[in-house]
Amino acid sequence: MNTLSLMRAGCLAAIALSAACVTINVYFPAAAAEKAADRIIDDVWGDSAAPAPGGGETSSLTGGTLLVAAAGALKWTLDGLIPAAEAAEPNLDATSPEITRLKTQMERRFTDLKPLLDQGLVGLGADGFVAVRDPSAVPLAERNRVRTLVGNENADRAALYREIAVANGQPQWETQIREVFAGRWIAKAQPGWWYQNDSGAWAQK
Amino acid sequence: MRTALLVMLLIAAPAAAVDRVELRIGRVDASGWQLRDVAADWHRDGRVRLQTRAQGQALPHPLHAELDCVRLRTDDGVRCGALRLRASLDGATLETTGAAHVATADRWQLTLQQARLRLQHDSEDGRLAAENLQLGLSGDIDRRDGETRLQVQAQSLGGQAYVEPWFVDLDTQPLALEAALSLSGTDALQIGRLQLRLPGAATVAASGELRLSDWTRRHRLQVDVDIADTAPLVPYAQAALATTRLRGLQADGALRLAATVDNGRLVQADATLDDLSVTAPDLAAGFDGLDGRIAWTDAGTARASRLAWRSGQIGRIPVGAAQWRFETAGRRFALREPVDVPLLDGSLAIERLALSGLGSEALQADFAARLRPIGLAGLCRALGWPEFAGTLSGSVPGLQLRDGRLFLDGALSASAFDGEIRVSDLRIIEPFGVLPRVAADVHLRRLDLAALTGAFDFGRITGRLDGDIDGLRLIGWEPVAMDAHLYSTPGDRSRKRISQRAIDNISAVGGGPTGLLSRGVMRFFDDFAYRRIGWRCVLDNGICRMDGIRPSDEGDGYVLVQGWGLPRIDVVGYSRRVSWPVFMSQLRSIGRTGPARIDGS
Repeated sequence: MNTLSLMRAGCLAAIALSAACVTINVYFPAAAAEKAADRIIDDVWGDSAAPAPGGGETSSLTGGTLLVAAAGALKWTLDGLIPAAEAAEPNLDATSPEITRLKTQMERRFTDLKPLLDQGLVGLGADGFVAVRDPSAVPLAERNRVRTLVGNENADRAALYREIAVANGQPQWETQIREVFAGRWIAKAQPGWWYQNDSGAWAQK
Repeated sequence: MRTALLVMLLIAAPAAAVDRVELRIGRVDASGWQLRDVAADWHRDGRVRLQTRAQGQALPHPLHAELDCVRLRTDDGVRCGALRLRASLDGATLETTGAAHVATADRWQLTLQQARLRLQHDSEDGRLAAENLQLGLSGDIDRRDGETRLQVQAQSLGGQAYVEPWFVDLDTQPLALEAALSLSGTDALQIGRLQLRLPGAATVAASGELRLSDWTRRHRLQVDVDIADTAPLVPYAQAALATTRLRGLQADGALRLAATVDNGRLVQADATLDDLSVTAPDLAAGFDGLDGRIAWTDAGTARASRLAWRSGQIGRIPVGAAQWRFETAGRRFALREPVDVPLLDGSLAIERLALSGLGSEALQADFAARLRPIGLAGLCRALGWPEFAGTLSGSVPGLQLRDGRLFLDGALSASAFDGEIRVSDLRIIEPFGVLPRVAADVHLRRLDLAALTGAFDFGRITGRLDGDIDGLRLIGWEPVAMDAHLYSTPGDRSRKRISQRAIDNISAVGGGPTGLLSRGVMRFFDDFAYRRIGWRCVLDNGICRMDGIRPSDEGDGYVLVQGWGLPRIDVVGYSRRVSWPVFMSQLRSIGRTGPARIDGS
């Protein structure tokens, strides 16, 4: 009788622990995020997106644990309990009506933004946003139009990064998603466009 | 120091009965000042020419100056008639004629006539720029008793300017400026009058005082803006609002603004509107005949404000004349008396509206309103929907803003088709963000299907219908997500019949065959009895996952209409995943053309 209830308690504890471990180990799916970013960038930039060098390669973010996993002593027992697939191949869902709508808005704006990228007046920032590279190079009559385009584009980009995080039920991923996008926008930029390198200096592709 | 030295030289020269003195000094140093390449040329007949490059702690760039005096008298200090001055500092060049009188270093007067100022400037961040900007100036500068007084009139002669976010092309939009300023000591500037005029459109007048050394933080200014005609200013308003939801704003009418700014803080602002029309295309809203006075104060006792409009439009719904009496101070707004806003043949009666924390994350609202019955026929007409009878009413006893979402308490209910439609848990997600969304739960109870199918030209169905549409989310009034379930009202004992055409339509919408029933023996029946109808759609990402009352007996379909009696007709659907846009276009085509028919039999 006693052994039975002990076993039962043990089972319950194991189930509870394994369930807890599954929810704790939330890896940011960096590789999946890069693929999702590439698809969105292709949609927004259309044929203008350059074939992605290094697309699908995993960045240094891969496997970064967002919330610290269970202590080492417990881990080996639990590893055996969790189905391998659950932790090994995390997915990232970058489709939601909000994302579609934002993508459409950005795609429409790209007609106006592309000439500015081509001329080098606007460049791709290291932070996942666009920026006016040299404000003085913009003719006075155009300055507010350029400022507005950049401002509205960045508002949409901020919303896009947030909505992708929200669509995956992980709002705290927003920063990492933005970082992945920052790299992918630059990787897929056309030759001649300007981008900010890691030290914040402008460079031309 | 500099003046004293030169004056001494010039006074000494005639004494020696010399005809001409030419003097070049490489460098003159004084406390805070340095002159380089000073060249002075004196003629016996009184003509003097002076050239120098000056650099001072107060000057960001070296100043080049050339001064010509045609008549120089030195009996009472130095008096220079028919003066010609050319000075340049970085991108600014001033050329002028006039007269000067220097009695002492602290008592002098300069008169400018037909002065011309050219500006070429671009700030490092590009937010302030002038391109070949030219101003014509005339006025007096007068230094006496430790006070410098400036009286000047200026008008633009051409060129372009950019003061973020405004671009002004002075070739097409001339400006005129008048100023009466006085400087006590070197820091305290009194603005007696500073007036900027855009001929035919607006006048901006300012007065007050400021500290030159820290003018962005230490000032007290009274600014009055009088806009006789807003139309020429619309491009400037649009430029300022281009990144907000008010982008594309149109305005026509008169507007006066008065503001008091104290050390960088707005302390009081009054706006007077006179027959103003405003349209904001992005918000799909506009108002005509706006009249009233809005009096805002930063702190202290709130004053009475009034705002009225003659007519308006919110979305596609016309809004009637309304008058708001309220008070607003700091981040607070409160209605002084209830407002009745006519909407079609009904109205929105706002009994209570008090907001605090306006423009901040901590917006709090105390709101209570009732929707007085609005005829659905008129509403449907306004929205371009098929017309049907009924009324819409409801009450919103409160609203809250949390996490960028505006939650409306209470519910709206419509009595339509002899049943009830209830909209509850209404929320507006990020109402001021880049992607405003509306979310709600909708419940339908005991709708008369005969009236409903009649309104939508779907083919006749009789009986009663219930529905639960949970988690409905709309972007731009288009549903993008929901869990919708429509089903025969449980326990309904009314006569349940469905026409051939309705069956055809249900089948067509589901992608199935049409016209099957108009062949063979079935064609003798106009309609059929049914036991239950049920349809479910879980919409997400443009895909509707469909289901019916229960799985079909054969195959992996689902039953949409369960027949009853003889002849018994069951309608079974097989498509589980249906594209929502395709589904909607099929539904719309039914309303227009009726179902497809197959001839013969």
